[in-house]
Amino acid sequence: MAGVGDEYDSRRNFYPDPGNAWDGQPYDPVSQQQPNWYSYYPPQQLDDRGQAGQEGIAVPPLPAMPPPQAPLPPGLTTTPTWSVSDQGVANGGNNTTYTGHSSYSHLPQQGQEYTGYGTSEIQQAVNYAHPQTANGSQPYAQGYAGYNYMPDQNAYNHQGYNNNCFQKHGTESYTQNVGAPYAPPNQYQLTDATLYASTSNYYDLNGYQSAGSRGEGGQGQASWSDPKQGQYSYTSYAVQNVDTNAAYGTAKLNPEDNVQFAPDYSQQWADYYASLNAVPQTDTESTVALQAASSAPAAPTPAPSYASVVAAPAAQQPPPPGTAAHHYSWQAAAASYAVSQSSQDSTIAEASGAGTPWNANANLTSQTHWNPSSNQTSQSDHFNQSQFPPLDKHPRTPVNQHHQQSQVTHNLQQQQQSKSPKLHIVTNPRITATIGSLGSGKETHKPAYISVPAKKSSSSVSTDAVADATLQAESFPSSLRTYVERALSRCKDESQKATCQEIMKDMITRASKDGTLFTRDWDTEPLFQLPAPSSSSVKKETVQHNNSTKSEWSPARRLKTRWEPPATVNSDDKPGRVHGFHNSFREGGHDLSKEDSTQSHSKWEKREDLWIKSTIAGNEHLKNMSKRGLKRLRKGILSQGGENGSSDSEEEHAHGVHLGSLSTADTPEEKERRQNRFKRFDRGKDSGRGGKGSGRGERGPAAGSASARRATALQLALNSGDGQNGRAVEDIDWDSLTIRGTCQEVEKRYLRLTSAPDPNTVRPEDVLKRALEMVKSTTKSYLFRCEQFKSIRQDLTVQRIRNEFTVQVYETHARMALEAGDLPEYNQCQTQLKSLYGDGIKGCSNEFAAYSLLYILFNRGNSRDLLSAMAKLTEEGRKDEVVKHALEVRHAVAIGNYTTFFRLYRTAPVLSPCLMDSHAEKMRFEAVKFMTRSYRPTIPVASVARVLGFIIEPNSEGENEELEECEEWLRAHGAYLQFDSTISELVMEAKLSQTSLFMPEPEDAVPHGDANLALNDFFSRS
Amino acid sequence: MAYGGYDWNRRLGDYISSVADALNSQNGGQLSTLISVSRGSYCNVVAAGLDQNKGQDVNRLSRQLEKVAPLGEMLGQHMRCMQYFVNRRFVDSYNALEKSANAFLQEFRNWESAWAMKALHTVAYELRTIAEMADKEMASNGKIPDKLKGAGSFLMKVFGALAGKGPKRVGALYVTCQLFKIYFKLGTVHLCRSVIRSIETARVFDFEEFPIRDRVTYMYYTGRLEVFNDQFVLADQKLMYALVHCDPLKKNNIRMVLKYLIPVKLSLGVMPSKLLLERYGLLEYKEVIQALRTGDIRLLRQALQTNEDQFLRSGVYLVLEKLELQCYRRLMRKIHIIQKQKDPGRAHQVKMDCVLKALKWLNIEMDIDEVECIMAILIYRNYIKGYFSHKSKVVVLSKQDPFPALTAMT
Repeated sequence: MAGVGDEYDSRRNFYPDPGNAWDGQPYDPVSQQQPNWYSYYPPQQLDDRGQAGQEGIAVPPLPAMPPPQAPLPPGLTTTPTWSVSDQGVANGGNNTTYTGHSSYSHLPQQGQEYTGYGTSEIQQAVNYAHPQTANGSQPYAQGYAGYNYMPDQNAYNHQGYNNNCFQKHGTESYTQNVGAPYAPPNQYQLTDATLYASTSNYYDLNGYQSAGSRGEGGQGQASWSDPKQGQYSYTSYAVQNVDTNAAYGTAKLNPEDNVQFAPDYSQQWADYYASLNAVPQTDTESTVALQAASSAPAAPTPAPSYASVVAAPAAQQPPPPGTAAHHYSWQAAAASYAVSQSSQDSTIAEASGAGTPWNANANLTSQTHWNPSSNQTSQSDHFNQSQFPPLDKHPRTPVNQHHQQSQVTHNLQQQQQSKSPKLHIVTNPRITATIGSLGSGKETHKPAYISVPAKKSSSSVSTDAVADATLQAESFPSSLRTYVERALSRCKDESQKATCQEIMKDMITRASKDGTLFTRDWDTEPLFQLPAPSSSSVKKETVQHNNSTKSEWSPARRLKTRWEPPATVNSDDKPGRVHGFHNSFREGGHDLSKEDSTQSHSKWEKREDLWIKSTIAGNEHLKNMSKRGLKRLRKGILSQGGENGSSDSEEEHAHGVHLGSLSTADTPEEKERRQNRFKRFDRGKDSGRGGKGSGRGERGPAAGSASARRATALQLALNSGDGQNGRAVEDIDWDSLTIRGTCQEVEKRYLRLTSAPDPNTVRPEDVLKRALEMVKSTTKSYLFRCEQFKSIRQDLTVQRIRNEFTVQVYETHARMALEAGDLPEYNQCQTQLKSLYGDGIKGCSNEFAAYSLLYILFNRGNSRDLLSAMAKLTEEGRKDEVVKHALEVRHAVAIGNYTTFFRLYRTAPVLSPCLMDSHAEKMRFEAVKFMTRSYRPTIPVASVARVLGFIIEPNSEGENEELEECEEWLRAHGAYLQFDSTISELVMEAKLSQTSLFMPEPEDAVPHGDANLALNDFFSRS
Repeated sequence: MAYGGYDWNRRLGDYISSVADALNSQNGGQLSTLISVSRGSYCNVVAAGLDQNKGQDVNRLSRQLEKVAPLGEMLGQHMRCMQYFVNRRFVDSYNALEKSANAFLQEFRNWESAWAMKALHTVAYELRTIAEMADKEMASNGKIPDKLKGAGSFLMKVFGALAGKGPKRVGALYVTCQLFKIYFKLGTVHLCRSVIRSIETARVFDFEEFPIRDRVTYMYYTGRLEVFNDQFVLADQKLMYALVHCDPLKKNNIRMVLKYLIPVKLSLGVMPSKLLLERYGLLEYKEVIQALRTGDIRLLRQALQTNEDQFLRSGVYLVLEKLELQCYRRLMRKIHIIQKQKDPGRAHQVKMDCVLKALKWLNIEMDIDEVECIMAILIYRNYIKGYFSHKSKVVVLSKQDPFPALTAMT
């Protein structure tokens, strides 16, 4: 047969001389036969076999031979078999990024995405031009004031109130800015963040108003102004800002310029997504940088040094504007916003995803980055509201007026805002926590600043200065900067970095001397050898790791690729960081709630601090997390809300512990400020373990210390959740942490734990036994019994009771849930039972293995799960009646044998029919489909009813009713029924029905898709 | 030991120097041989050297290690890993190896060219192999084994370093295959998807540019995944690719491919020859195939039952189970042929009684409802062309091509 020959030909082709090669081998005879060994049924062979092997029945050669298989399936290289919709939530992260990348590399799309930006930029430029002329004497403040102020003007028509506010703000940022250039670079970063903080504080209003007032383009602008002006606020920000405005002004708002901007930015983004290496800089940025440098004299600082900080790639802390640093701050934003996303209504996230033009065109990846921007605004709105109650009432009305054209996002957010802001914060603890988490960095990250001086030793500063002095800021090609960043990112400590900088300085000087500075391809330039780190500095670093989280969020170390899973990104274990992060959430939460009550208008500074921290917290966090990690982060936040049983007080404890360790490395003034803040929080400055219970009166001191221990353990457990230090968990002595209940009440309402379990409300095992008996014998509704079961289970869990009684409880509850058709609850019990049986605790494991098999079969439809469930069955288990039945059901379903299925349905033992219920309807429909396709001309309804299990016992009394039921069912599914007079029976017209069958919408369908959650229905069933 | 301490020190020094040489000359192959643990010859030398050394000569050693900067840290850990490995302390060995691999990967990222690809692959291989051993050790000590999982995460990182554009991409598929091996071993097959997507969606890099052995392995695993997903046509394509490109001398590899390819082919209506089964020792399929050829449903069920464990473990059970319908089809076909011989005019009408008799003859108890159901399914699935008359209990076969080729249906 040709196919065989073809195939082997190709094989031979591939291995150029198979004959020779094989001749030398012991496989010689086989190679002779090779052409036959995968024979696709050659006719002669079949003939032979047919005659010989078929007990005398002669079979002629089969007419239809399988066509030869193409040896090289052509589709292979081009089959993207995993559809996007298929994309699991769990592992979407990497891939979305990837797709994101590819879509970004398509230029046409970029065009679409960024056109909005181009136009809106003009408008923005108009806005900027105004404050500049008005307020030229204070370039820094002016940049801000103008920026924040102008849209407000649009929106509020110059309300004096706003003026005050912004003026104040302006000065604030101004002073900080002034300080910045003179201060050592380490504080630079601080100022940076502060600036960012202050801008974003106000920015939210702008974002809305500008977006609203500009309709379509507005959103584009909101998104774009967000990154560019609002969030990319570096030290150079003001200068850059002013200068950009000036540039626009002189260019007379030439639209082409702005349009040009757009692709550049898109390029930048594309680069970001594509970047496995450092992000190459685009022209835009360098020009901006140049502008910044050239406009520097306007600033009240000596130009060269300022420019050096702005443009010097070696200056690590304030990265060159528009390079990777942009992205980092973006990441920071994304991280903190992801937090907000998770905590806010998902509808908001969705709305912002769908509503904005950007998102409409962008893919998932960009959404994750962009959503935050809108969320951020809303978030800071909350923020401002809490801070300035009068303020938010005031602007809201005009905003709404201006927003008629705006997107869903804004409307939604405004709806939110139209509620009482305070109430909002109070009632939604997650949001509070989130906002808090943004402010969280305050304590946890303070040391980060402190460690910066160590990192940015004076030598490195001078290096930068020298390099700049010799080279001028303008003369850096963008690729060189990325190169330098790459080089520095390898450094593990200060001394190494300093050496690197020395080397690079030499390199750059050399390159500029021989004129290769611009011609050399820095992107492909190999990195020089890294000097070995000195042992002392290594030690120092570890100390720093313990005390602070310093180096983790430094931009240069963030050159990670998006491929890396979050768990392994920080392969070196740094428990401190994880602590810091977890705590940061809690801390923040408390901060805010506390502050809420004690808020006053004079807390600008603190506000800003919060925002600084937020940046850093986000920054650091995002660095640790890839996109997938973000998802986990959200989950983590949610779970911390109570799933882990972590109480508020626990959080405080854990946090306090952390605070204690962190607050060591502070500069005096920082410390002082922080102490003040601590006092405000009514919490001792060394709020270590134990001291925290005071806030909540319920627990005695003993319980407090126990919960402190638990909290520590919990922290360890949480850390180990990252899969990094599982050893720590093993070391926890859980037994000593386990409580023993003292409650004697038999009945107890179930309440999901939001705090550490109180022994006074937990029932010991003997009481629980009585409770089980009570639930078993009660005649009350399923809801009551389910609740009782859940509270029993909870008490068992918190006391870590795992014995046969536990199994009994879970089995009873599982059965009861099955009876009530409460599959989710059943599944919870099943999961627990699996682990209990796995521990060797006796119970009805076979029965539940059968249930589990059926559950997987009907509810998950994953053949791998099914296979593993089957493989786990023991030899003895297979003989069990229930298991046997389940296996038969599975076989019937696999083949599609509906007759057998409904027979098994009828004879199902114990509770198996409850599980089969869910599939019966589907099976019936399938069966009717099969029948209408195969039967001609008609099928009697009676036989359908018999086969499909409507008639339980033929010739019984209820048969007529059952027949009617079947008739109704068939009609409901679109079958054509008619009365056949020849046999005086109702029959189904097969051919007509074949095309008209449909699966009706379930009558009890509920909007949220889970019928079990429909209370009315649930009551009626129970 | 016949050698004194000095001698071992010298040997250690030699080893370190040769690593330094390999680094300086950018000889990836040499480096790969040098750092190989589980299948390298240097492992014993290093381990013995370190054992003899007993930490007395740490300074000397670290001075020697400076020669291989920036990989000094890496090599230090790596030598420790070798030492632990020879002393059969696999968990410690793995931990050291991961540190070493981490340091190596960081350097590797900085190298613009892919010269050290071979060494990186060796590291990836060793990570997986030693992690498996470490897991065994942990399990026997009553601990929860998590090293292989850790190796999986680490290899994802390695994959991340390779999967971008550029010369390093060519090595990405090897790491992918190592990841597959880990995921299949751990049963976390769903994790494969992200890796697969990044391989398959990247248009920048033609799949055919990857090394052939990686392509074969990749196709083998993705083919298996398709079997899990019941995507037999895709599975067939991928497994055929693996089979065609597999080195014909690697008998065991071919066998592994065939183990999945045969059930897939069977469900697509293609039967292997007896010779193939014998040559590759896949006799567990022999009876299944026999049953399919003869339409012997009983034999099929028996064959499935006897090899149930094996089929369940390899994951082809559910595939083979569905062959039952093909078996019914073959039975119908036989009946049809017999009828044709007897009475060609009425041969296209197959009475249910005949089918029932045939089944009874096979010792299969089925009543008419069940057989009707099977007929309905066969007709619905287009295994048989024709219709079923409920009134007269007869399957009326199409006069033209009543049994269309199974291969034509997909």
